[in-house]
Amino acid sequence: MNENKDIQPIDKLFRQSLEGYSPSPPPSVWKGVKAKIGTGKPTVSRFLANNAGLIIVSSAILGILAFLFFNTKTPSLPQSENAVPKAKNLPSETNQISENPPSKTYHINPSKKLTSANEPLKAEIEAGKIKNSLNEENKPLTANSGNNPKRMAKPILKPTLSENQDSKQPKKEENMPTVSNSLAQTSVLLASGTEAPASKPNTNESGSNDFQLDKLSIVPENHAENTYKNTEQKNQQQAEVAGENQDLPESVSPKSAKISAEPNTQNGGTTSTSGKDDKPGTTSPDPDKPASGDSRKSNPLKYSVGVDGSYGKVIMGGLNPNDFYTVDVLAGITFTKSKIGIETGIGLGYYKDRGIYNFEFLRTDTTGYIGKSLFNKYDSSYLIVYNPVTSNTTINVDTTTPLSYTYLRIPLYFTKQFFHFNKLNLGLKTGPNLELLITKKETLPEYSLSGTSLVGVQDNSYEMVSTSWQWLFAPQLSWDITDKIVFRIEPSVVFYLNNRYDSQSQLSSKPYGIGIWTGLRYDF
Amino acid sequence: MDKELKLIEGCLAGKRKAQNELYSRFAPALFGICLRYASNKFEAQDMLQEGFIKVFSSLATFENKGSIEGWIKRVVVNNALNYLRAKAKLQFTSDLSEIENLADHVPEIDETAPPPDSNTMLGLIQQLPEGYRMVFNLYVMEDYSHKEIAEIAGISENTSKTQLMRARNLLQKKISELPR
Repeated sequence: MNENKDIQPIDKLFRQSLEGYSPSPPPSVWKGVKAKIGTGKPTVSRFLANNAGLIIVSSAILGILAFLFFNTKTPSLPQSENAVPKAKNLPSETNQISENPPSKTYHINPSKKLTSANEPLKAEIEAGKIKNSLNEENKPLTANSGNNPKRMAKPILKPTLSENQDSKQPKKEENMPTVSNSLAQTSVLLASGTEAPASKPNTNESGSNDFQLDKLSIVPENHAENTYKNTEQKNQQQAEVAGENQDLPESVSPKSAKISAEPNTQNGGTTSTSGKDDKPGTTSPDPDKPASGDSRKSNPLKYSVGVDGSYGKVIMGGLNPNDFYTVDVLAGITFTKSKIGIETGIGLGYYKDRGIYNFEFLRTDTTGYIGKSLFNKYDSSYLIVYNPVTSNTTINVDTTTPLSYTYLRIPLYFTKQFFHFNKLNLGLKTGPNLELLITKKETLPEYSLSGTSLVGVQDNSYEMVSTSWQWLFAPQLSWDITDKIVFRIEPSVVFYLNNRYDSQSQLSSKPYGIGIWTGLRYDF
Repeated sequence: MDKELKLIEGCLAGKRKAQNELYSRFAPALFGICLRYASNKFEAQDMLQEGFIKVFSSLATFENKGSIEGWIKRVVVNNALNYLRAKAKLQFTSDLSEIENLADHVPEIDETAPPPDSNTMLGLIQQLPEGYRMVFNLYVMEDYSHKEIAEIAGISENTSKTQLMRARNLLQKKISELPR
């Protein structure tokens, strides 16, 4: 700057002493800078990086919603349609069914949908024209029985095509067996298990087998599905049926219902056989295997909504535990077979903390006086001046103040039920949780010391992160209050993946939280 | 140099990591400067914080013609001066007769004696009146001329010289009073 500067010894003394003097500023300075400066122009990559959490959680929620949407679509076709396509594997004789229904004969082509063929039958059943004769309790299957795969899966009568009737001789009505397990009966199995037109195979002139309604059997769909599973099974079971057809009634499920209609003699429609394949193929249904065509039985998902609340403490080495409270609204789906579920939703988290402030006071004490003599040039006299000698004492006081943080919570939990005792369920719940800071509330402290002057106040508070990633792990205990409402309670541990406090405030130890979650769930 | 450029580019792109690195690299030295201009450490913290906010907000104006350290230092010092002006703490008036008396009784500096430690010297500067402190810092520590100081502080060159003389006298007096 100026080479002719007047540099005196005292200047050199200060330069030497303060050259390279670089004390570390307190962390609060960077906090203040960070809070004021932005993060520059938004770019796609930085947007993605900064909002990765939100994007992941949003994608997960969208995925679940899409999954729910596509899986809650119920079939628009009649339930009976579900079973009919299965009959495509029937032997050729059973597939060749006349499509010329007479007034009381129902010609059903199993390879086609039964909608139109069912309508008149339904009407007749409702009108009481068709007798429901075989059910033990003489009543049709109920929806409940259809809902329970295990109940429905009991082996029941399977005759579908007449065997022991001479196709060439029309049977008389009185000679027709009245029990549906007679081989003379032909059952058309419907998926719904509620109504089933039964026909006898009738060989028409063209050689195809017509099915004429003489008995109606209501059989669970899994029968229908399993009956025609494959040709090999059928062939084997044909032999069994041939030798054991007298035992068939024993296998009738008490839960199953059969509707019998007297054979249509007007049309001379008797069971016609085509020789070797005139026995219907029957299979022993697997009682544990639900039919895939019945949406009520095979619905693999259970949907639920619920409200959870929690209380707990954040524990961090070197600091006092801080209370937290949360409330979440959750929606979830559970895979009924594996009992694994996914829950997500939105909520609020409230964290209590304590702000730490340092007050610096200065106390000045007079410890004595020093006299100085000043020479007066005009009268050559000396003036003695007494200057006080003071001592400055700095007093630092730390004080705390209430501090609270409110976060928006977006949980994504995975659940697994392990045990079920009566109404009590035991399981596990785990998964990530994203928290985004909404508000921070702080009461500024006031402090004073008599005989001192306040020099400054420094905020030494530990500051919580604005975006908190957490992982929750909780054993889940639930109680079925009703079929729909479940009370649950979960002692939980929360791991704060990116710490609880920001980088300027972090301690060496990792924080974690312990708490108790409780709430109600409603199952659809 | 390349590393500094990358650091600046990172700050300009808004990357928090780069901003933190720039701050961490230069904050201690700048805090030492702020402590000299301020009357206590809290005031120095305020100066440093505001200075860095200006650094980050005006980093795009840095033209890579000099060192980034020098540029940041100028920004922070200018901010400190503005801070003092804004708080109306600059006082350049004094009783001339007192100064004359003090000038007659300024003790000599013993250049052979070991200098006091940095904290003590800093404390002495902080005890100076605002005007003295600013001129002393600019002239002695920042190596500005009286003409430049006059322009910066909006005072005359003579005032700058007077302030410097008074500051020196006070400091010499205080040093002489320090326990040996």
